[in-house]
Amino acid sequence: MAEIRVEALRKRFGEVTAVDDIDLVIADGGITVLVGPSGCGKTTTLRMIAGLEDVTGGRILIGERDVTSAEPKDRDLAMVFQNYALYPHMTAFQNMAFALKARDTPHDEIRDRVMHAAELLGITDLLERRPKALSGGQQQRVAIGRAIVRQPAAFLFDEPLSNLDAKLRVEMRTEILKLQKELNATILYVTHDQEEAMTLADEMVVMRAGAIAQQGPPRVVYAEPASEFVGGFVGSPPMNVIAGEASGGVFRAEGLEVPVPLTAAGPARLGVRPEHLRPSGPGEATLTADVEVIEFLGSSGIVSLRRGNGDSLKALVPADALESVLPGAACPFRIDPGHLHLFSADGSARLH
Amino acid sequence: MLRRIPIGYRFLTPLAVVFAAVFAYPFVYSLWLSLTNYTITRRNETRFVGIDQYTGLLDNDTYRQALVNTFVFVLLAVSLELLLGLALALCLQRQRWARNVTRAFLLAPMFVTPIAVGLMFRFLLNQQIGVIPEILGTFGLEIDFFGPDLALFSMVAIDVWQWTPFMVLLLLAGLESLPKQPFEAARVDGASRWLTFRSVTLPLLKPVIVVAVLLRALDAFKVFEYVFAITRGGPGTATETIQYQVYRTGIGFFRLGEAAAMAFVLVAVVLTIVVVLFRRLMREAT
Ligand SMILES: Nc1ncnc2c1ncn2[C@@H]1O[C@H](COP(=O)(O)OP(=O)(O)O)[C@@H](O)[C@H]1O
Ligand SMILES: [Mg+2]
Repeated sequence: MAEIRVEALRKRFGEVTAVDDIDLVIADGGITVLVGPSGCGKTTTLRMIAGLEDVTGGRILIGERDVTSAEPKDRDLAMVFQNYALYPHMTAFQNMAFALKARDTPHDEIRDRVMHAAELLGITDLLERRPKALSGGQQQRVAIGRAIVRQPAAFLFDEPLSNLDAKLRVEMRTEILKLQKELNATILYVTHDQEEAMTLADEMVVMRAGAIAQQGPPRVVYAEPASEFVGGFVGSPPMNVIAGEASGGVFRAEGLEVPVPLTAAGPARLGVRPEHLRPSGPGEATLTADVEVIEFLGSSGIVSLRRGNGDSLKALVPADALESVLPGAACPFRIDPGHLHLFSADGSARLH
Repeated sequence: MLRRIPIGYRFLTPLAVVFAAVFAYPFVYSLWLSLTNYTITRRNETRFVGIDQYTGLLDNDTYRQALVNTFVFVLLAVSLELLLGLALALCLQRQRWARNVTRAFLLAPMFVTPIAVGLMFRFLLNQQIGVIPEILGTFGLEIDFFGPDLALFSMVAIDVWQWTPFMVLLLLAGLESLPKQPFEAARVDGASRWLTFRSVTLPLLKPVIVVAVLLRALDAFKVFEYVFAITRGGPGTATETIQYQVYRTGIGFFRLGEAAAMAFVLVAVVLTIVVVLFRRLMREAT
């Protein structure tokens, strides 16, 4: 296993700049997750690191080795493709053995390593089947198996779970985590699903339009989003944003006042996560809003609110506090002052 | 009466009539002819002879020679066309610039009518007046392309010249429609060019190869124009092919019954090959 470093990496397709000056360190023995909306350049970044796409500018280093223009086979990386990319005419066993065969590994060793990987993934019964005779989840395991038989410097995963149903996706997520611990693998993992990113990541890299919007451990990215975009992208339901004005330690918007640090001044945007917007007694309320609908989730509910000025907000309310919230009624809500996010007027920077 | 037939079948009637007129009737009639000694110049002596014509073919040395010639021709020509076609298709697939022009030029031989190709090579390769023997002559090489040893192979070469482009066309279309992902996977897996070709390209391309070979083989079995335009089966029986012999027996000597029998033997052999090939392909597809 090795660390991967990416310096000022850039990729243009004609007029489109898909990846724009990215600097990235993928730590040895951890999972780094690239997350961002569709089309933000995640796959392109991954493919450049794998060597499947030429770079327009910048450098890629694996360990101490500059591999920017090396052939994929000389990079010692294993990749799991979004649509699995299994060899359709080969059995699961042959699919997994192929990379070893390409490296002239002795027959016995190939068998041992494939069997070991198959046991780890629970697919020993499926080894004689062709991809067509496997379900999506099983194909996924074979694709992962094909990567882990090799003991490469690092693994690259491109949205490996996006073709699976929700239940299987959650299961496979756990398995990938276990597998990573077991192999102490270095993994660069791409997904558009922020929940998948949060659960898997040691280090999370949020991308937007070819650039890195924020990078850090999931807790930090969640607790202190660097911009309104990150705040809105990470977390579900997304963060509420209220436009207003800060001055003298108070943020004011229509029908609402909350204390903010004294340093903030001028037009600004207040970010409030749904779980930090709670029903309250009239005395301690920060705002009142009409309750539109309640989506009950079991332990909590998502309450859709509409304020007097037409803004809509969402609150994530624990089940036991839902009783006081009645659809159609105007209810008092309180913003937790300990969990405020204040962004600049254009949303691009975090003020507090 | 027609009313009792379901409407769907009634719509089939025109096709059925045309099919019966242009295919079924001639087919059955020629099958019947092959069981008689029908000869155009002696029609009043026509008599039913059963399978005599077929058993007679077994003892017919010229016919056996023609069968062998035809098979050698088809086997050699189609194999060479496949090898060359595959190599060219692989090159063209990697080509970056001037793709369309190259392809247009490469496909040109296909658009020449075979009889013209035959005549063209008859003069190009002619020992007295041909350009190619003359050029070879300046290097001290004396080659009689239509002599007894080489004539059949010259025919093969002409067929390869004209029909390799067809192979290229089919195989290139096949190559370009293959999924990209297995090839990217192979690159990441560290497979060499050769291993990728052998273990990924060829197996994925196999259905296209089978169809291309089948189409070319069926067409090559019909070889007639080159023989007719150049050697008329000679020297001796060196380039006598089934189609040419059928033509000579039936149209030249008017022995239509015997000619029909000759043709049916070829049909039987070819059909067997087609069925076997397709069976294998289908079995592998499942
Ligand atoms: N081969 C290509 N040719 C042209 N544009 C491309 C190509 N691949 C990707 N792009 C463009 O680059 C941008 C990033 O794409 P991609 O990396 O696939 O995004 P993601 O994986 O984050 O969804 C998109 O705007 C996409 O249209
Ligand atoms: Mg993608």
